[in-house]
Amino acid sequence: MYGWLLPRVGRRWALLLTALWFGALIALVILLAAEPKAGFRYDDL
Amino acid sequence: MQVLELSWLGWIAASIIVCWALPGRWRPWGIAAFALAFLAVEDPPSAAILSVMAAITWWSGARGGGQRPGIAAVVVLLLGALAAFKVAMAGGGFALPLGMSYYTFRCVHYALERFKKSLPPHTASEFVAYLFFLPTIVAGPIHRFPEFHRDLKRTRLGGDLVSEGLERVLYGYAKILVVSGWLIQEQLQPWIAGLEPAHAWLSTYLYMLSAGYMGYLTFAGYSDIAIGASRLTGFRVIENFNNPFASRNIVEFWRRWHISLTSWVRDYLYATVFSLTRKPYLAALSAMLVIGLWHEVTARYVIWGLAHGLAVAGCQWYQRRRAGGTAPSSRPRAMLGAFAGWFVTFHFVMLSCVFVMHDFDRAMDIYRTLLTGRP
Repeated sequence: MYGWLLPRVGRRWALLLTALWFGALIALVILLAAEPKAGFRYDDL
Repeated sequence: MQVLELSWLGWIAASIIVCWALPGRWRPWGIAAFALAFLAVEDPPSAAILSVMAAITWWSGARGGGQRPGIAAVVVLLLGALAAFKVAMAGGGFALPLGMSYYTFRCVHYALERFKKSLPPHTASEFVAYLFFLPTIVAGPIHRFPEFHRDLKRTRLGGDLVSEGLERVLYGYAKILVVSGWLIQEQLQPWIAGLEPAHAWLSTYLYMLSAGYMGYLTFAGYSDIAIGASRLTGFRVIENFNNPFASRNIVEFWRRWHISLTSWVRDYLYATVFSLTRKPYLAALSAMLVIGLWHEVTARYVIWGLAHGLAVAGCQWYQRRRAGGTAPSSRPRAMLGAFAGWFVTFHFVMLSCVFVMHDFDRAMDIYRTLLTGRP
């Protein structure tokens, strides 16, 4: 993502946007860490 | 044991650290030891059964080289063991050894390629590391030995692999927990259920789509986590999905969905049946039937496999018939054809998912509502 942003918005914005994006994703994953219920599981084969 | 459990993540993190800390010649043993220790702690019978399968596979290559009946017997033995466990599991008598479905196909791949003498020169430790590779042992992908062997030569973990690996692991968790679990299951599906009974058809249709996407995102998420963890260990394993719901026909769909399984079936089953019989439709039907049975040895997966086999055979027949014809005369006609192809493929896949994701009565209720509009 950083590599894609770098030539488009410059180093500072690329760093900031990348940090925000991954920070938000990590926060969401931790906050919503409840696995969906499923009748069939691919990690049980 | 599930990929999302924190203990699994702990095992993965520890194995990555230890594997990179070990000197190069000890690395394959370190990789295998970690996966075996994980199996022994989580499910000791799985460790024993998979070890026996590894010994048979190695022995077949070391002793049976060049003997066609010998290699056939080993393949039948490996696949027979998987089938026996699946039948026992369907009857409720047994739990399948951890990761056995993926593991067996890796063993068969190794045994057949070694028989064909197409593998690079390697040691027993590299073979054991390939089979007992923690990131892919629980939920695939069914990666191949030559690529794994190539990456074993890697001596340092570059920044690109670390960045790609962490990113894939995070995207995998986000697909499962945020999009599939929270957005679709907790937010969207209750809202869809609230549409009934006034909008029974719309509610059922949206539910079918949401359940299909949930299944896809969850499995694609597992694959992302496995691929990301593999990169952190220094290995680039095969991709498992390539935007499958954008496919414009069912053959294309199966080139984009669970790619490691479908490419295995194409190379070792479809090609074999086709070369023996010269009947592509029979080869397609048997390939899809085996993919169905690989999931579960139950009537619903037999029907699902046959339905997909007939669809693939039908698509192949249509493509051959059109091959000699003329291309669409105008751009709008071509676009309309592409849209129709996507529409039919997408809905066929979603409707077939209903059949295997629910019990028979519930699946029939969903089909009835979609056909009649009545709840």
